[in-house]
Amino acid sequence: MLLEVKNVRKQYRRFDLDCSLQVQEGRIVGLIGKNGAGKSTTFKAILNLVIPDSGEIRIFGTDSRELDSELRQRIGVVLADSTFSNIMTVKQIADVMGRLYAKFDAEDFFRKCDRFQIPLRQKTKEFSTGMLARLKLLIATSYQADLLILDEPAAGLDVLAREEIMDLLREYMMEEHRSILISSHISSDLEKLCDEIYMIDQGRIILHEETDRILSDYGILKLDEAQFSGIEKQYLLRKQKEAYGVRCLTDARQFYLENYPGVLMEKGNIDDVISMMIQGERL
Amino acid sequence: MNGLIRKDIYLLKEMRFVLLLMAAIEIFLVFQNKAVDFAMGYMTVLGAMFVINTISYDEPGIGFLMTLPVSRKQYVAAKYLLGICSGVLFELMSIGIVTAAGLILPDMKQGWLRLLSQAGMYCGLVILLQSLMIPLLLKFGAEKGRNIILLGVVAIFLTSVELVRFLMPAEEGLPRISEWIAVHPGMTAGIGICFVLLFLAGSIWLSSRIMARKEF
Repeated sequence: MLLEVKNVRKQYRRFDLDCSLQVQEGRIVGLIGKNGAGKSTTFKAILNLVIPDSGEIRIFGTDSRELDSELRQRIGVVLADSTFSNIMTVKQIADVMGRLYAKFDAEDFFRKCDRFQIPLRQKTKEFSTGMLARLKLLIATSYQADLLILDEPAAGLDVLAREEIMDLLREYMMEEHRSILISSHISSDLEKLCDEIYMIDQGRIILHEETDRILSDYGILKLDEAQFSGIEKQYLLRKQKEAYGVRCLTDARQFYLENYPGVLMEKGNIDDVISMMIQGERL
Repeated sequence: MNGLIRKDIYLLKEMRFVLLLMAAIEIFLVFQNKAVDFAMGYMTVLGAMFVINTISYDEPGIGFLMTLPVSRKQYVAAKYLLGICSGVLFELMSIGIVTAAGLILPDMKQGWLRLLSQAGMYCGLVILLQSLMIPLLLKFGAEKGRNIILLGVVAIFLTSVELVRFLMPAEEGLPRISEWIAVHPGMTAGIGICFVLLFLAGSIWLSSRIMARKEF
């Protein structure tokens, strides 16, 4: 297990986090939730930037508060709102990185900067949002880290730029032992990239599922009142009142397709699942 | 820590024009007004302020910096090291300017002992200033910290004046202190160095505690 977050609690005046999650070797794990759901707080707790009230966080089997420099060099980080000072140039950042990380590969880093048209001698305050996002990711992947912790790495980017970021991550995962924990509020990014997904809302993990299972087994049933009252409810996770009757979320799509051929069934996607999990009523 | 200091040096490089301007002002003060004491003190105080700038440049990205393979204690140590080094460097620059002035204008010639003792005193002052500033900046941030430092300096000055006035009558208090210092220069320097080192150690301890508890 590369990362284990066990019952981590953090109380604020208007928000409290109570979260558990795991990242295994070779996996890409997504944390999805709307703005303010607790994604960044979870990441900050993992990175020891906020001090949890209780619970345990282990990275590479070591308590996250006890991580020494050697273990920290195995973690790559992208934070949504912070990086090196924007008055530094990429060349200067590379020099600093070379002094901080034993495995920093300057040649590869500069080659990738060239590939993504990132100027080396320009201050990063003059960069566009897309350039800065790419640079942050190139920094995090420049020293052969085993675990990437990426908080909204593609926030504010257009579709093409987001796709570039996802490609970079797929490239990084070519080495088998590596893992990624990534957060986003854009579900389509994670749907294509992640092996498993945690959904977070109001500081609580409301669903943990394999991405393939969400896409294959989850579905939305659209039922009128008569259909709803007669249907087997064992496999329904949530329901929501609609003008036409009831909308239901199931994790056993095939069961309803086989046993209730007359009902209207939509294939599940992460957006539907998260919206039903948050807004729907538990059965 | 090497990486952190390198980063700070790059940040300070941004202020090279300010540095040149400061040097120009000092040269003007020394040559035009022959204000050696003032110029040396002015350079020291401004030099000490440089460390504030690196802390404020760090502020927007401090969360990320704390995920680098350096401990919070090392971050604190890097700031003190940089602060003390920059203070000493500015003092050396002042000595250079004053010495050059002495070579050009014979009436400005300063004795080496006087110059060095003055430089030592200002180095002590820069360490004291930074020892006061760094924990406040780390605790309250650059913006709020600056105002608190200003209030703090005024409060310390007024308290010291009042304390001296309370302990000794005005007409004989300060002359008596000056007299004692003149008679015991070695002991005065020793007391001064001990005080500065104790203050520095306390400040490093406090800054480390502030950083250990700080959330980003």
